[in-house]
This record gives sequence, C-alpha cells and structure tokens, in this order.
Amino acid sequence: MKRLAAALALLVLILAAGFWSLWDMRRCLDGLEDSAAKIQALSPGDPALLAQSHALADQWVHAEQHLVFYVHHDVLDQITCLVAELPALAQYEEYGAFYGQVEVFLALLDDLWASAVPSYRNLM
Amino acid sequence: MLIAFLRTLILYAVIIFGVRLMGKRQLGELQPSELVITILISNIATLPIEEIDTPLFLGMLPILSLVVFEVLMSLINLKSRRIRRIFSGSPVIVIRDGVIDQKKLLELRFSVDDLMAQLRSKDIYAVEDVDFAVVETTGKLSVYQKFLARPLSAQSAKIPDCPEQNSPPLVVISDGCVHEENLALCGHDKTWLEGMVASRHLRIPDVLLMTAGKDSQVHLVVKEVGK
Repeated sequence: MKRLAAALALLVLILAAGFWSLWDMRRCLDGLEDSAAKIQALSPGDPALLAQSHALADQWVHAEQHLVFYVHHDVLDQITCLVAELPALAQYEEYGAFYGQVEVFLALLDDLWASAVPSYRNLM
Repeated sequence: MLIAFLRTLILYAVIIFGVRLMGKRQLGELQPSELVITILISNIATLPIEEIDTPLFLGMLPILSLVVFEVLMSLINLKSRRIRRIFSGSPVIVIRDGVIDQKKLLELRFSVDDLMAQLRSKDIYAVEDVDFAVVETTGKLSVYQKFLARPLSAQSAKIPDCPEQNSPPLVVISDGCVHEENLALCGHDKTWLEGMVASRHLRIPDVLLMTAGKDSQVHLVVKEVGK
C-alpha cells in the first residue's frame, strides 16, 4: 500500500506540475504579448519605441528563466536572438525590419503555446 | 561536460527511485508489460543526458509517468484476473503425461529445441519423464516430473521429520556488521553472539561472515584484508 500511495502521490505531483507549467507559460506569454502589442501600436519614429523594445527584451529575459524548465532550449534561444535585435533596429530606425521582427516574435509565442497544449494535433 | 555529468547523476537517482518504487518483481521474472517498461525507461533516460537542450524535467517526466503507470497496472492486475489475462496472458500446458502438445507449442511459437533446452536446464533429458510442463507468462518452463523420475526426497524415502533441520543457517555478521533481525530469527541475542565470537579470540569487526542456525551450528570466516 505504501508503494501505491507513493505512486498516486507521484501521479498527482506530475499532473500538478503539468498544469502549473501551462498556467505559468500562459501568464508569461500574456505579458509578452501585451508588451509586443504596445510596441506595434507605436508609430515609426516614436521616441518610446526604443524604451519599449528594451523593456520587452528585459521582460523576455525574465520570462525565459521560467520557461527554460519546460520548453526546449533551442526554441527559447531562437526567440532570445530575435528579441536581442529589436533595440538595435529601433535605435538605427530600421522600422521595416523592426516591425517584422515583432510579428515573428508574436508568431513564435503563439507557436510556443500551441506546441505546449495537449491538443489532438500535438498528441498525434 | 559538467552539465552532462550532473544530469546523468540526477537521472541515475531518478531511475533507481523508479525501479525501487516498481518493486522487486521488476528485478525478477519479467512479464511482457514489465519488459516493455524496462526497455522504454532505459531508452528514455539517455535522451536528456545526450541532448542538453532538453529540459531535465521533460526528460524525467516520461520515466516517472511510466513508473506510476506500472505500479497502478500491477495493482489492477493483482485485483482483476481478467485484466491479468489480457496483459500477461495465461500459463500454457505444453507437456501432459509425457506427450508434447504440438498445437500449443505452435501457438506459443515455442520450438522443440527451446523446449528441450529448458528441460535440460532442469536436468531433465527425457520428455517421457515429465508429467506436466507449463510455459509461464514470463516464458519460463515449469516442470512436474513423474513420480519415478523425481529426485529422492526424505518424504518419499519415508525418513522421519527433523523439525530443527527445517531452518537454514542465516547470516548474522556480514563484513563486521551484525544483522539484528537474522540474529533474532535464529533465536539468539547479541550477548550470545559476542560470546561466540570472543570464544574464538576475535571481535565482531574482525569477522567477514558468520552464519548461525536455530540448532546453534555456527560457521565463521575471519577477515584477511581491511581489518
């Protein structure tokens, strides 16, 4: 019975960790999507663009520290590289590339969530 | 490199924990589902060690999940004969009264060479000496020999019973450490043990192995190295 109790406790722990990771990921991604949306709302040449892109980069660094526990690192590295370019693009007024990168960033976040959810597509 | 080393250490601890949780059955005769689990766990364990980009949690999760499923399934198997039959199958009689059931052998895809090899491993060289032979769900062959082919036993020779001979000698000292439980099972205490060791001009840490039975028969081996 001790073995059964330990197995059930482990099962509860695994399920709890799974749901918690989904909740934590959603929380991180919501924050990042909000920040990215704010950047998209700013027009090219807006002085707040550089500050917002720095803020987004800092926010990503903080979020990555959570996501690294349950997301493949190569995906996170890809987003890190992308986010690292944003302040430079804003600073040197490469607005086309800048907004393009923001779109790619949002698409990668969507993909990250879509890959994490236990949907039929992911299970198959 | 240090990451790979530490990951290996962590996964090793997790696997040991998992195997212990699954119990001694896993280390003994394997049922088909247990064999599957063992192979899966060994394969899955290598992935997070080799791929540093994979989070360790994602590597441990399948292993722990398999352990949990195995423990729950083994409990269900224990309670339900029907489920047990589905997962593990049933034992099959392949020899009855010295006659091989060829149809059953074919169904099991068990060749005659396999059958003879398993019989020979039990020191049986003639099929006609076998009364019943059963292929267990683990694939092992259990054999019940005919009366005249069986090794002579005290019962068949009508030798009177000696109850004091029924208990085997138990290890009471192993590498200088006393096994209190075994000592109690022999019906002795530590005072007796110390007396026995002292009578040979020794101390307990000097003893490599000491066995004792209920009949107070003692066998003692002294350490030669590492005293």
